[in-house]
Amino acid sequence: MYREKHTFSLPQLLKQTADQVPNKQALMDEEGEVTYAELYQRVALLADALIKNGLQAGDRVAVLFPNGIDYVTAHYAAMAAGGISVPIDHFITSRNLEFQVEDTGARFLLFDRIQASKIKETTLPEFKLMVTNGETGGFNSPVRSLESILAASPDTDLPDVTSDQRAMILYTTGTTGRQKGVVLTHKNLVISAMNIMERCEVTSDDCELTALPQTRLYGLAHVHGYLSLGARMMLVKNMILPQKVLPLIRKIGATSFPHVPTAFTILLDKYPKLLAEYGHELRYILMCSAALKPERYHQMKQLLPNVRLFHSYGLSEAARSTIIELDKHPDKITSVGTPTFSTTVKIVKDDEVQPTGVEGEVVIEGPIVTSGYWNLPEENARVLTKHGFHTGDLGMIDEEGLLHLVGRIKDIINVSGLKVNPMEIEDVLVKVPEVKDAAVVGFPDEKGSFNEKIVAFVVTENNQKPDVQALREFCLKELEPFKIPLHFERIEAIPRTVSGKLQRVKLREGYSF
Amino acid sequence: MDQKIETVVKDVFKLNADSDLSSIGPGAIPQWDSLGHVALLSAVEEAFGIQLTPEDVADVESLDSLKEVVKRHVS
Repeated sequence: MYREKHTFSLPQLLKQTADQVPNKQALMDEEGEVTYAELYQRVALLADALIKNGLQAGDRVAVLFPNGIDYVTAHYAAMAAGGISVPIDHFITSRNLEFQVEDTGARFLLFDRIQASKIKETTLPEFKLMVTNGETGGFNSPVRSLESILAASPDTDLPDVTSDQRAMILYTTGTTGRQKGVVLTHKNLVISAMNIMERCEVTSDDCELTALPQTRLYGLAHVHGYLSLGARMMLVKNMILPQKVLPLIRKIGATSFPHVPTAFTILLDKYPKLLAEYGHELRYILMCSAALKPERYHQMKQLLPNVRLFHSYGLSEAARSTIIELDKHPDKITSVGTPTFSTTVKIVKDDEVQPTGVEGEVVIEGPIVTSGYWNLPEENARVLTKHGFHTGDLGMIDEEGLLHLVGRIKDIINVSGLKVNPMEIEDVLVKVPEVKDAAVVGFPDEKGSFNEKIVAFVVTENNQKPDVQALREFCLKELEPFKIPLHFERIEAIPRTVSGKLQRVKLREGYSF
Repeated sequence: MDQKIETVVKDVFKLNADSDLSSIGPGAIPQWDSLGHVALLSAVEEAFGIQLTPEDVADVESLDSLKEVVKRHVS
């Protein structure tokens, strides 16, 4: 049921589902719903419009929508046309939008109405075609309305997109100061999605309510999986107000509600009655992106005793490499599980694979692993070795074959599952005239809900007290909100080696917040 | 009291002191996401020395409803 889908591309699997269960509800969002036949028709019509406007196999298509039916339509249409979908976070800054479009060379842009002003303000190249669900006037490139495209007659003849073709480029936090585009084939995406479905025993009877951003593989893999199995999904834009979201579990008959551990920490602390009232109707919950504290697991089991709880580990470069059903390992809640089907997880140290119980770098091998980063051959040679993909995470495999994460080699900060490169923030801070030097470090957020909190150390002109409000405002113009430091600390000098390399460890060990 | 809440909002979401809050609300600005919402609730609790109950928290759907909830505790 799951593995027989491994050889197909995502558009092929959607077409199969649409042929098998055309009248079944496929997707819901806050504005409406579509059946599988309607969804496939939308995808086919938009793909046809892209092709008729010059899209050729392998062309990149930037997709800039919040969670919803239009997002899924655009993402699948880009792939069904033979192109490569480039999902872009809806809260992206103009600076990063410009970079991602430039880096991918995307000449097609599909965007939501709420992004119109950002797109007009950003220096972007001329596109062959832009498509929006909003107003079409005032842009520098030809624009068509999504509504007019979807109103056309379905007389399309789409190319056959195969499993080995590139499907998507997903930008992730880089370790060297710039974002990196992770290239994923249909095979990568289908196998990782089916691995999740298999472990969680998802069937066409399941229905998922999700507020996860669909521009991250954690959320998007579920869309790929559910649509390939003929199951139902409801995508909501966010979970700012859980009192609006959780009742939807009952309304739509949801059996799954995935989210990051931070979200469940918030629900347990602030909305326990809502979680208990609606959460118990779920069949399972799959978490990802950050560790779940054992006490939180026990709290969840107390509130939701009959809901199966899963946790998983993965990166954009190797989605969902391991999964654990926590209830089956109550004494090993902090583990992230065993490798998914056809995935191999190794612990490597000094270029040697380590035995059970020894710590080292987590390296992943298998068909879920990316073929590399877009336009970064040197980086690819560094992270893709004979052993597999080097994650930068430190881990250990125990005698039961369970992977335990123990730290990181890289300096990436984990803010509620969102990865932040401190160098990106430092580059912004040193642009402030009063800031002579800066270093950014992640500290454990023991009291809060963010996993790690960002602290910026700044050296100022004449050692003056920094204007924190001004620093925050400056950062907010250049960085996404989750990257804004929580604390700014004045320091006389940033600790560096004789060669000038920043010594973050000295700051991490010398301070507490 | 309303002014004090607005000051907390501006501080939490890193807004200018003279920012217009007439159209602000959950999701209206990028900073007011799910984590920002929780950070705001915690900052309000700290600023007013109160502990919001789960019922209070579930009532907060806008800046106006936040003000109403705080009034219930302070008055």
